[in-house]
Amino acid sequence: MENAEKIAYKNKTQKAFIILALLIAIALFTTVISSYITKFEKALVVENSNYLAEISSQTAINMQMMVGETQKALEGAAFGLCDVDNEKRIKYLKKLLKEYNFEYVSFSWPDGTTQYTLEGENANIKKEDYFIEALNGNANVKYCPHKFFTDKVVSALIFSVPVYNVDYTSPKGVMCAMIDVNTLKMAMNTTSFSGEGHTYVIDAKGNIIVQTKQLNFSNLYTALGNCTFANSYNLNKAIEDISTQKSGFSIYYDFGVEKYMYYSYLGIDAWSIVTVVDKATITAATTQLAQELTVVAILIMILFPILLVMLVLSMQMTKSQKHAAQMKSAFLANMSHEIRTPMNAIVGISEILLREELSNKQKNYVMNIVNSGNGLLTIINDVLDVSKMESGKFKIVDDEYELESLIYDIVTIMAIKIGDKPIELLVDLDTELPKYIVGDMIRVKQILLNIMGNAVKFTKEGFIRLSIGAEMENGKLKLTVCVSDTGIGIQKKDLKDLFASFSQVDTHKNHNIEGTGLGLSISKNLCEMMGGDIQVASEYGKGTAFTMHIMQTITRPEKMIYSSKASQFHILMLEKSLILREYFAECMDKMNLEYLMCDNDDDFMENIKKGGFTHVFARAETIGIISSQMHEMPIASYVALLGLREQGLVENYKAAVYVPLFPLQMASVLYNREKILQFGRHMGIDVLAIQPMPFVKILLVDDNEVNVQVANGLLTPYYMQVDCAFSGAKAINMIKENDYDLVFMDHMMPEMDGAEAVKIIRTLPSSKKNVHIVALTANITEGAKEMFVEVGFDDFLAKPIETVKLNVLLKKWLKETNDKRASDNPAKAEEYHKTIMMHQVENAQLSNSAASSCAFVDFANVAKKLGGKKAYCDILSTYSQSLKEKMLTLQGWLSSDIQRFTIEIHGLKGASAGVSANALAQLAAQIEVFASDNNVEKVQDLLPELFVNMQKTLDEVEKYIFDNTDENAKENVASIGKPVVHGALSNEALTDIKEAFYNYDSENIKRIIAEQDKLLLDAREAELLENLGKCLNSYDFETPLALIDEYAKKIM
Amino acid sequence: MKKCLIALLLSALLLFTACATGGKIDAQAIFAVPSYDWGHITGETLNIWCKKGEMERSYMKTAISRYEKLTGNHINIVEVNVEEFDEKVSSALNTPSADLDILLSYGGTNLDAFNPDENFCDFKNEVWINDIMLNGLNQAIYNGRIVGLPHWEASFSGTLYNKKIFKKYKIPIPTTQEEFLNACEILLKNGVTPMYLPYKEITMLLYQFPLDAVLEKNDNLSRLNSGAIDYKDIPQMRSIIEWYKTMSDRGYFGEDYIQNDWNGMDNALKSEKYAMMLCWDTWLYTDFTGNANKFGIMPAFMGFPENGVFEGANLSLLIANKNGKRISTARDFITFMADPYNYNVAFKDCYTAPVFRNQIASVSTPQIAEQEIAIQRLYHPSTAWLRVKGFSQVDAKYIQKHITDSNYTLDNCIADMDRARKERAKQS
Repeated sequence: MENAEKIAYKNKTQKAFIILALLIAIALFTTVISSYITKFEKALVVENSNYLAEISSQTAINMQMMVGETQKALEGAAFGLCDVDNEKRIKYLKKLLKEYNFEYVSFSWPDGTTQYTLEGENANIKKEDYFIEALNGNANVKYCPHKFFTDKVVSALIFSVPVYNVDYTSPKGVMCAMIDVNTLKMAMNTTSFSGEGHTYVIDAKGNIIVQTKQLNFSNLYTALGNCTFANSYNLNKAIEDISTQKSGFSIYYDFGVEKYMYYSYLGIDAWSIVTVVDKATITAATTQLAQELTVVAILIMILFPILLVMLVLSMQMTKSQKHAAQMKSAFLANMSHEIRTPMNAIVGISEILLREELSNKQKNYVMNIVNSGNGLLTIINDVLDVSKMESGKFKIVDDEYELESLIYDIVTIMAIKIGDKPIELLVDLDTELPKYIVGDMIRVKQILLNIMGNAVKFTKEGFIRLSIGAEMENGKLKLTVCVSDTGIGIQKKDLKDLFASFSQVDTHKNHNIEGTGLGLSISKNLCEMMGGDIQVASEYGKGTAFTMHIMQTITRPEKMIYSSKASQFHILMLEKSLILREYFAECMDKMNLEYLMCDNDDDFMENIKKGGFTHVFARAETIGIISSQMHEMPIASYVALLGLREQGLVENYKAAVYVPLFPLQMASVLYNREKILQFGRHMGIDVLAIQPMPFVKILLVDDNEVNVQVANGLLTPYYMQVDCAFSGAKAINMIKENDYDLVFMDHMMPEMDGAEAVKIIRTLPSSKKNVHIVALTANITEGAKEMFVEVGFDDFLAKPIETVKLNVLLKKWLKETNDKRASDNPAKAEEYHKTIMMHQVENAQLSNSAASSCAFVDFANVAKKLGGKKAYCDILSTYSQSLKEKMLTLQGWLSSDIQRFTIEIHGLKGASAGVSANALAQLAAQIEVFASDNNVEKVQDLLPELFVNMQKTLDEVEKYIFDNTDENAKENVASIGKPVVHGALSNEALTDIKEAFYNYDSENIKRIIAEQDKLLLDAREAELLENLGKCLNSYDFETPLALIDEYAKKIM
Repeated sequence: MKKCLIALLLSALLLFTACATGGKIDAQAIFAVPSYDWGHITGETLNIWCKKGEMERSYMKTAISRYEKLTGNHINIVEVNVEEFDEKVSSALNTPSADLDILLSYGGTNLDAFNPDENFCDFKNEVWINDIMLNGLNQAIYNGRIVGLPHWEASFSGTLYNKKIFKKYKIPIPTTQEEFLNACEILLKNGVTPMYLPYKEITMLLYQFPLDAVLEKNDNLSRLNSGAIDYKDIPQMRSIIEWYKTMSDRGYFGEDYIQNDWNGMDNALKSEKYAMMLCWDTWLYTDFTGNANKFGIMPAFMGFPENGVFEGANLSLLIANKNGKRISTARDFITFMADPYNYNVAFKDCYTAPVFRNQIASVSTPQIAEQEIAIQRLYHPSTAWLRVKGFSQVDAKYIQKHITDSNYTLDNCIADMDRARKERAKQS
């Protein structure tokens, strides 16, 4: 019995313990959930108050722009009114009325008598402020709460501007125009917080001028008079803040409803803008979340015993998953830092190097480093993008951009990627495309670079076509972008996984093609984030077409491709490539142009002679030939068509069209609009455009010396006083001892990192602690900037340092200081100015000299190698003769004897390489490959480019000879190579001469040949020397190596 | 346990009631004292002339009673039959012994017969002008002068539609003329007559709704009134008239719609046999006996403009006879009526859009609140009815003839409408 009681007591105790445990668990759980909800709500409130401020600022900017633009338009119109006589004036005013949607436009004489566009309106306005102001020469904007017309009343803004006499001495009258104040509503964002946020424009007394939602009062202050403000704020303070043109955020209660209010000064007629939103609107999501969490909590309590067990199990299971996720995040962060830091050094130093005087070859090497570095960064960015997308942190940032600029950048980059591949790049544009688009250009570009980059990778020959079309859909612009190619295609089975992350189609055809497999996945996500999609169609072995839809918006009506009265043009075009003929025809059909397309020279020339064409288009070399016979040709504009690799030549022609940009540049050529010649816009900052800041002193802090060197190099053009420190502790000491205007501080350093150093600096005496500190970091993850600001940094700059961003940052923090010091110390400023000018002139000279060697022939480099200018000139004169001969004969050889053509082109390749005509040498090498394969069509395609290149090279060579040599020297060169048969060639001599040819050492070659000339040589030896001499004369340094080897074999 | 549960439920109910009434503004507390200066004259009798029944509106009665109580003056209502109104008022204005102090009338061309420049006071410089919404002021302006105080209930007109029916057939609210016709087609296919047209009530054809939008464009109004153009020169006029014919031919008004009249409107919408009706929002609260919450308002899609139109209210004005015997008292009365201290009492709980900026005691219909942004975008003030010389809603009879008589062409219809309008303008 006693035992039974004990057991019962024990059971009761256990039950009580379990109930107590459950209650504790419930309390704990509720506390945790509540604290989470509160925290979440607070964060959301902060974010939304910022959003309110943004909306308010944006609305203010929109309104100011609208008013400013209207005033400017009216001033322009007033300027035009000077010359309009009395009879035509009203017509002119009515035209303005229609164009700008004014309520009325009027012209007033100095006595106030007024001519209105409104029938029957004739009020005299001489006592009106706005009239008096304008008559005194000041343009004016005036708010008029009620403007009474014959049969309507309008609340309006009246713009008044002076109208001057033709001599512009004094106003001969005043032009006024009125807009309905409701027009300003267009500038007000009515859809903030899903339409629940409301904006009011009020005057200094609180009277509501414009509103997005009807308020129960005509005066906002009256409405707020019934409300209670939070945080010790009150209506009087609000009125004081608003009337003193301050901006701010406050919370108030309107009949128990908590509301958020943001006010800011508008800058028009003492108006302010106030945006109000219910707290409930902002926290609607959290309230719902809280309710859902409560339900979940109750469910958990009910199922607690079961869930407890499951939780333990699940915790054990998820522990490893969490660990994996943490590892992934850590990996990404590390990768970001560890790869970006050395990349900073590589790319930065390369960029500095590119500013130095380098040969073409060296520049190519460095460019390769920069390109590879950037390629690697692209991969890192891809991985980070995917990571952000997965975590929902990726954001689309809309801004206005020029579509044309995007296309130029894409084409320029793709042209470089295509390189020497026999691929045509075609851009096909809808003539209705708008000039300006609002969207995230960087992301659109990212998609296109991904898709087109793939097209280049997987296409060996044929074409890559970028087609862009647009249509309006639900008030938005639906961009349809199609990238099609003649590449290897994709098998049907691979199509379904194509857009998955890390997916690369595994075929034997692309095993050697690089890539992370993230590009298409990112592109798909980006398209979807921009309200669109991406589709692919492919035929294995024949090609692939990606079609993307992206939703953008338009704010301006201008079209990108200007076209008007197309029938006035009659175009003749010569194009031998079928692909391009079809492409040009399609483009011209779209522009409704009349044209005649020729596929051969005879037809073309015959049609030119017939005349009747306004424009004649042909490849550059053909235009060159025609130009020389221009006096015999009928009058027309002759336009050079420049191939994919000829964009650099565009400046050389009065009128030229770069083939991949045919639709854009065709329109420019036809309509004589701005000559569009820029390529690769927005690709960096011009050193000469940098404003030097010699009066400022900065400190660079980084434990990595290379990084310091990079940053220092990038800062050189600013002529600042730069000190360096290699640790946080050292930096603190230097700041104590010196007065710096800015500190660049690396974030991650051993012993004392950037954040710790900043903390200590901020505790220094006031003269030191307020120094501006910018974090230099490879950590570019979301929220990094906020994090740095939170720990005390003023700003942050990502590594690798982008020159454009660096420039913006330096201007932001230092320009004012520098300018002030310069104005305080004019003598010093003048001294600095002179020194900097001298440096810049020197640099410019260096650049010019580098630029001259960057053309077709690298004279400076080879002159050194060949033993000086004199010797080089001798060789060049022979080379130029050889070039002239080849220009006359190559076409003939190609038609009659491909073998001979191959030999000739081989000779050209060697000779050109010998004189450092590198571009020509490379092109000849490319042609030689096709010629060796008897691929006459490819050779024909490249021949025009070859001739252009030869002509340019020849021009440069002749100019160089003219500038650097005399007739005697030329004669000496001409005498080399006359063989005299006297004796036998020694092995040493053969070795020496081979080595001399190998080293392009023409002086030694000449010396050896001259020495051998004195010996008695047999016929075979004489023949060898003769051939070697010929090769030297034609500056072929490769053939002799083969000839000597062959000879050596024979005599062994 | 049961007691606890009941107590809990009661508490919840009380809390709910408190929350539900928590947001109501107390106008009398806010406008506890007069905003303007009035009431210095007492012991006089003012004569207000109006069309028969027009002073019967509750807010007018409340206002008059309050005026009498607060000033000690007396108001004498002189009711005139509609048919005799123009003639008798004109005569009274020209006869000082007729004792016309205040006239209650619509503005615009409705005043043409009364020589407003000579007979009516101009209130342009009154203190209360800034408190009148622009729509109201536009009703009161005549030849550049503010000839009266708009003191009337305001409504917004468009298409009333049954939300439940639209939801049931998953029909989105139309935003274009084509979408509207598509919606009608879907409704018809599902056995619901798309629109109730009170054909016998000729003023309910409401062709002025789209016409208001037409008149805002290209000086059409001034050119029409000056005789520079006629209806026949306005291409949109053809689209508007053809809209009625299209609706009729496709069966969107129902089979025997020529029997429809004003009295059938209530039952038509209540029965849910019809999905839509051209009307104004306040009708749902003044005449409709069904559940108003089931209905929304969307623009009127009547052939023009493309995105439809909401039409503004027509407001009666309190006009002072400047040649009257008691002009000071009349002006004092109008200042009284314009004071938020008074009109918020008169309009308390009335369904109307605000005419005054500080009109906080009346109630906007939920239909308007739902469509506030669309109304701002597609609203066109009443223009044809107020400003077109010789305009009459009765001319819709020619539209009726065109849709029912196949021999009566569109050109005939427009020519007859032009002729009738011009004859009427000539007479006035």
